[in-house]
Amino acid sequence: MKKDIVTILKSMKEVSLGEKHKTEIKKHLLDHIGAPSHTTSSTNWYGLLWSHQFKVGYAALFITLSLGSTVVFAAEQALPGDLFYPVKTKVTERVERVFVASEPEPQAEYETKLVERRLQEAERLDREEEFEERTKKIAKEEIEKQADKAEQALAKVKIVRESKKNEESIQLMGTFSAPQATEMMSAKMNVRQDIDDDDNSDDKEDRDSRDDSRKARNSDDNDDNDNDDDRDSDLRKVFERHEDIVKKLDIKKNNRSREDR
Amino acid sequence: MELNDTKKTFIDIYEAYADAIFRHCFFKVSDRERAQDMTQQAFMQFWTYMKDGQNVENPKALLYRIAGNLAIDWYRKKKAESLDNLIDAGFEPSDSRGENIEQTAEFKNVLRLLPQISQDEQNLILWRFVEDLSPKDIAEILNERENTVSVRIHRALERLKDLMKTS
Repeated sequence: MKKDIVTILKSMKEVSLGEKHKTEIKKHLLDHIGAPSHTTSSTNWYGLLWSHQFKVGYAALFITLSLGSTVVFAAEQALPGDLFYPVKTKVTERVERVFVASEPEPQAEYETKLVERRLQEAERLDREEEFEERTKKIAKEEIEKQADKAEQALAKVKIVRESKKNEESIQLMGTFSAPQATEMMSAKMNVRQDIDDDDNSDDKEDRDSRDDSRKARNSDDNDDNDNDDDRDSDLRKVFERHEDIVKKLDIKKNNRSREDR
Repeated sequence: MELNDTKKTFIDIYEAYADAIFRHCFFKVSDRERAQDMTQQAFMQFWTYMKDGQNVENPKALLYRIAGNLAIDWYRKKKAESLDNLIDAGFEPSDSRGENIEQTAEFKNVLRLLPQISQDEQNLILWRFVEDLSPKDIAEILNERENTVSVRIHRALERLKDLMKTS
């Protein structure tokens, strides 16, 4: 009997997790410990290489190469109204856009750079006195279109920044009690205000040392804020410039119609 | 140990003991899905030990201890449904992996009887005869002397045998 029961017990060894569930749990554990899983990474590479974004990139790249370097060069120099201008905006720049990092900030920077490019084109046309009504309309449309894209990209950056701040506050809520977390968040938000307030202090040395220690404590946050502010002001400058040039275009248009009369 | 090395060791340990820990949980809770959850939970707790740099000399022993505690928690939360009820409700403890009918019936019978002996006795039976752990290994897990463990295994087996005779 003893032999029998031992045999039965030994047969119980056949009960197992099964490959499927074993792999599933392993994947959860890898996520939990923060290690990259082989399956996930290979899927990502495959997915990335065949993503819609890359497919458009491949197609655009193929067309660009097919058109040949002369066309590309001609397109690079093209201005609104030129034959190759659409090649520049719809092929070359589209290819460039595909290779810009997918994060909102590099994308906003790139879109802003394109607004600058559109403005420069309009200025070149203006200098070369080739600003016919038709080309002027194209230039203006291109500027508006590009400015819209830049604005959208900037809005995305702002949304991402806001959600990061929210995540941070949620994490703090998880780590500390609610009043502690609220206090820490408001302290972070007030750091810059505190520094400004301290500028009014009489004792400059004392103020500087306090600033230094505060800046050291919050260096990461301040760096982020500074970078964000720099980017915002760059974009703001571009939009201001855009408004100026549109106004300039309208003034010139009015002058010319007066001369014509 | 570098964090990456710790992660690698952890995964190696998972590969080596996942099935054994799952089995241990399965025979405790008589439910495959719950046993899977419990296995994952046991390894997560084990990772916390490793990550915190605690000395894990005998991973197997620690894992069994964690799984055992999880099973006890589960028993406390929910007084174990008897296996009879589970089987009546359509629960099939066997994996139906091609065993013959007679063997499957015996297998079910043992599963039905196991909850009738104490938790400690169940552990001894499962470790010794299902997992093939030596009395020395079991002694390490339980922090007891090898001879004591051998005697307790013998008694647990006799108890199970008696239950089989009367069933």
